[in-house]
Amino acid sequence: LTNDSSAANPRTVTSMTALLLTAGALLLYVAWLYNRLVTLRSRTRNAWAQVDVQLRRRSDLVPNLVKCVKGYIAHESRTLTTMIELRRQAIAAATSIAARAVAESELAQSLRLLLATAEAVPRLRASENMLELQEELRATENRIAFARQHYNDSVMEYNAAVASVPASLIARFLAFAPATMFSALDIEGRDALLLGLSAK
Amino acid sequence: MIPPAPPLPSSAAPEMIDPPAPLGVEAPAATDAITKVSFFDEQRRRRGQTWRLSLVCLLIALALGIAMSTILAPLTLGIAAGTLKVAALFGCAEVCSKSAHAIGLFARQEMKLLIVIVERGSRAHSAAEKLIVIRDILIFSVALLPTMVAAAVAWTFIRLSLRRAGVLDLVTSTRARRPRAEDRKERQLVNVADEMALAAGLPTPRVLVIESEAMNAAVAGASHEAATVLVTRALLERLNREQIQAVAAHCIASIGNGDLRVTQSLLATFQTLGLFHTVLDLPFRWSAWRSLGRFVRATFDPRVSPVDVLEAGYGIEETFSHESMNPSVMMIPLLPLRFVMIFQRFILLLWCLLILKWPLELLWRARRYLADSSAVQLTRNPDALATALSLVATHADIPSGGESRSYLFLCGTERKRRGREGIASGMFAGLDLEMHPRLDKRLKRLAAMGASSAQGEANRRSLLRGIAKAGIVRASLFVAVASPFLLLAGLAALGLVGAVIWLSLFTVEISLVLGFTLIAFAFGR
Repeated sequence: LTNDSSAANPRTVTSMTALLLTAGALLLYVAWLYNRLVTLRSRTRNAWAQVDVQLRRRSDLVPNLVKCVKGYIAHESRTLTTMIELRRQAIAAATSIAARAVAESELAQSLRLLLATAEAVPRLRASENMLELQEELRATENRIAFARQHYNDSVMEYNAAVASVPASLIARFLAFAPATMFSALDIEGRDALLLGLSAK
Repeated sequence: MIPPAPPLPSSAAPEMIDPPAPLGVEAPAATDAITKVSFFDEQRRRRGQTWRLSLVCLLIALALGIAMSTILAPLTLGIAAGTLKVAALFGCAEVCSKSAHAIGLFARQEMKLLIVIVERGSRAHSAAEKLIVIRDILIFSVALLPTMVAAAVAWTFIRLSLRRAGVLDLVTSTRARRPRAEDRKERQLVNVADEMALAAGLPTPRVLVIESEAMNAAVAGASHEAATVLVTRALLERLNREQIQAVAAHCIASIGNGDLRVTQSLLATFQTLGLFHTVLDLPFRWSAWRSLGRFVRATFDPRVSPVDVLEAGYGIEETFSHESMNPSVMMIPLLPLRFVMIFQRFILLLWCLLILKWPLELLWRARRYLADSSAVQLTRNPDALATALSLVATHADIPSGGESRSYLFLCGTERKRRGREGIASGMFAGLDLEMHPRLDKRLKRLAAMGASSAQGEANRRSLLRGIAKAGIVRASLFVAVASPFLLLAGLAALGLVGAVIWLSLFTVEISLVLGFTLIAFAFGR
């Protein structure tokens, strides 16, 4: 009976078609929004993987550096142990980006400090091995900086997408959490502490 | 989508890269207030511009395509009928000659319809009469379908073959080589490209060095995955690390933004047009046969090397150049036909030069600005790009072998400096175009993104800003004086476009009548 009446009434048919078309368009729009969110999220994940690779690379340089330096500046063994400890912490903090950022920037700081100390030892400064390590470290620092920049750019775009209005509804419904930036901390106070360590 | 960028966290390795550009910070009072923009806003603006211009280009290309299909409709029908006639000699004589006859009859019918359209069209005044004419035109346009389908197929295949070959020809024609690991500058280039790819989140592109005195850099390749960055030796020698980084960032940003795909589409469009031309030229030029054969092979045979695809492309693109228009003496019996054809070519050239030229140039320039602003995003160092650009542009030269693909380079040679022999360096598919933005405009945009070294350039007065600064009275006076001239110029431009359109319609009509008459005469009796 309902079939008959709808078939008989052209206005009903028209409005039904319009309704269906609108629903279809809406569905397409939602799918597009969802896909965009997924793309952006996977981009941030890839970017993070890149950062992680570069950070690991730096961590892997630490034992070599320590081995190379040890014979020359044995009197600074505290700096070396601090550094090993910081490296351990940085690796342990791999789960949380914020904690990782803190640990990694401390590690970077102590590495820079160690290099400065090594500069002061003429025999070490001339060592071929040391020069190579220094170059490697510098290149890695560069890569970390750019990988982090890409990660932060991606996060910013993703977070903006998650927070903007039509997409934010989908994001909340499907648990798209905003990502955390990987920011280097301003660690001036800590600087002083580390300088104090090596002041001796 | 992207809100104005907040200041990004400053770098942990300050000696490696400069602090980020002061985004969204007001210009200091000393500099003549240019509005600062963040590179995100600049990118969004250029993306929007690209979309609009692509649409315009697409529409114009479509119009050109329709015009070409109209001109070529008789040819396609003629070829089809001729093939059927030949096939009739070898068997199934009845069916084939009947079909050929049907085509001939169709041509006759279309010709009659055309004459009716022209007659009615000139007398139509009321809306109803005009509607009838439009209906007739629609009926008539059935004849265009085969050619349009052929064009679409040709475009798709050309695009595919270009995609397969990439624009890698640039690599072979400029004789680029791998960077040497023992050379400090070249190793630096590789590192820098690596870093920029990391910053862009792209796979590291292949990096090659061109031994050349010209300072320039270019991109080539088929896609993100198979992209190549080419840098000349002179550029490596004269720029410092940060500037080389900025150049590499520009190239990689261009890859990441998909410029290579844009190029392929544009080239495919031009080559389709060129293909039709070559077909039209077949009776008059031996070289047309040769380039057509090579082209067909390059397009449909996947085993052909990139270099051959390219060579074939050149052969086709050559049809746009003026030399191929010269009629040769031996064609005297075909002269009337040749005359019509030269006219068609002339019309097409006019269309390309007067109408397609502007959006095409603007489109590619928008892509350059987009790559510039993306490069700033990658390096966070607008100054390095600004200084690198001004250094490169003042010595800008396309390394030998790259002239025909000069639009892929960082900077083009400026029109002023292009001599007689230098004309080729602005070529796109054989047309003399200005594909790069002017240096001062580029520097101005970079200054707006925070390059302090480009401030001076940016403060140079432009006409509009001069008017804006002159105060309301003087500005209105200026407008009052200038408006008649502007009006005149506008009218002249309109008249020119009108003349081109009228000429095109005339040509189309002549070629259609001529073509259909020939077919009807040959097959429709």
